[in-house]
Amino acid sequence: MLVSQIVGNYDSSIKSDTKLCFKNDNSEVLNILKTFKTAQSKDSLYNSLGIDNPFIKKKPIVKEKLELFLIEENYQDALKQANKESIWSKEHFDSEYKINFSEENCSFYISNPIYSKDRNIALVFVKISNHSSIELYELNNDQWVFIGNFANFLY
Amino acid sequence: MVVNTSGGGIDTSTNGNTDFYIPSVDDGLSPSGGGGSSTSGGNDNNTPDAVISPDPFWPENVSPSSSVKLSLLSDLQLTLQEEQYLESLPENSLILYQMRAYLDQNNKSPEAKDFIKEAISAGIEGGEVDFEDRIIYNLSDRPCQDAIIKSVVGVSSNFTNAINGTFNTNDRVNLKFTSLDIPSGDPARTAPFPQGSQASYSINIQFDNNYLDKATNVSIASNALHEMVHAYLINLYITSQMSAQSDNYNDLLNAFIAYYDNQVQDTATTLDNEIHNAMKDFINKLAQSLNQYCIDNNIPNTDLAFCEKMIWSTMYGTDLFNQVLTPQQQIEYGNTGAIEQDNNQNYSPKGTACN
Repeated sequence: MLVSQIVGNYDSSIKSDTKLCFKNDNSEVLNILKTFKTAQSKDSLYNSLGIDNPFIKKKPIVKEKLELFLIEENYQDALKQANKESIWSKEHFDSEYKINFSEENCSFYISNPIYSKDRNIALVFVKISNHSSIELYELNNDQWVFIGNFANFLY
Repeated sequence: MVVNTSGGGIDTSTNGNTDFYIPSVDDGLSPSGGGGSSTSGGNDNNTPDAVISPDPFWPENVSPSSSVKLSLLSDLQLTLQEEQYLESLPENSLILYQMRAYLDQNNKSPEAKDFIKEAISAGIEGGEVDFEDRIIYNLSDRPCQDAIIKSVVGVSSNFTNAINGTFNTNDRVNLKFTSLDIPSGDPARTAPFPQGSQASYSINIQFDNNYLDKATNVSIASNALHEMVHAYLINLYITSQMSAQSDNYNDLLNAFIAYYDNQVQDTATTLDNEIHNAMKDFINKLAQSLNQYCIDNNIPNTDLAFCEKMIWSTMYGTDLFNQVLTPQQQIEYGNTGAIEQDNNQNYSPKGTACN
């Protein structure tokens, strides 16, 4: 867990301000896409990302959508759009997670989304409390619908 | 023993035990599958053995290390990249003999083969393998930090002994340390789902590169211990040993079941809370382990009380941290961890950073 402040008897002016909030950043998603591009075995990658893993229910829908994402050669497009797209609204995640995010005291990290070329699928890195994953959304009737997640981590 | 998979010579400084494997002529190491000529008698016609035509693939025709390479290629179904890695290893590379010996000691079991493949993957990335404890260190670009983590894993304490006991006595599970950029700024994290098959799997602990570059050895050791508790509990769940360990783990077990069934925010939050609650049982053991690390590494002005604060600081922001500690303790322990995490020279950190 990140220790983020030096306060109390210490000089509070030097406390490291590392609030986690919405970030204009999608490095985690890009890293995953890069890994796919260079992977010798996609099966092994799906295994390591918790998509096709013997310890949990397989996630065929995530795999299918991710394949579409990759087939579309979105990677170059993703690089171009990196840090140029606006982040999703706080309200979107408020609705999705039924959590009232407070940007005053952030305990979450929501990255910039990366869209597929047809802009029907989006990948977002989300960290809330001490758990993170890359979440896959699909556009359905103008609504971004959560499809599933992968690359989960505990902190 | 930790073996650098990047190659190098045979370690002749080891003890008198045979640390490497010398293939014998009848151990099936022939690349042709052991078929062909036999020198073990059975010559009913009293014909001199010398007249038997030599098998063109007889191991005498190749160097011992080439023979081991060929035998590994024969036993393992490797990708082209993995084959190229094996081929690229120098003739006197200890890792070849370590892999061969490990496979043979484990009767070429599927688990052993999977572990060797993991070792080869680590080698491709420049990592190192501890065959004895089944721990893979893939932090070769940061040798100082790598040494800190190895040192804390090697500490003799109740907790680290349990960790090593878990991973070196179970031929299915491996522990893997790697580093990368973690965008959220956290120092380290653990993947909740093991990688591999149920026959052989790795639990992966990842450190953030920026954190490793600035933090002191005390901070890195503290976070390594914290993440190893995650790995330990994940393994307890995977191996269905959680209930047997403690009745206190019932809530944690249910949280694992729910999360593994469906990874959504509710189940993730519950699991996160239960894991950190379970960590309360480990605080003293972790503090003792860290204290022993400080003693072993001659880190001045440290004691058990300081180490306990450092361990608590790794739980900063968790429900456990906020509920168990008083507000004053939260500030004090958080600051103790922050000074070591940031190697803040204004407040005289007790540890030292690598860079």
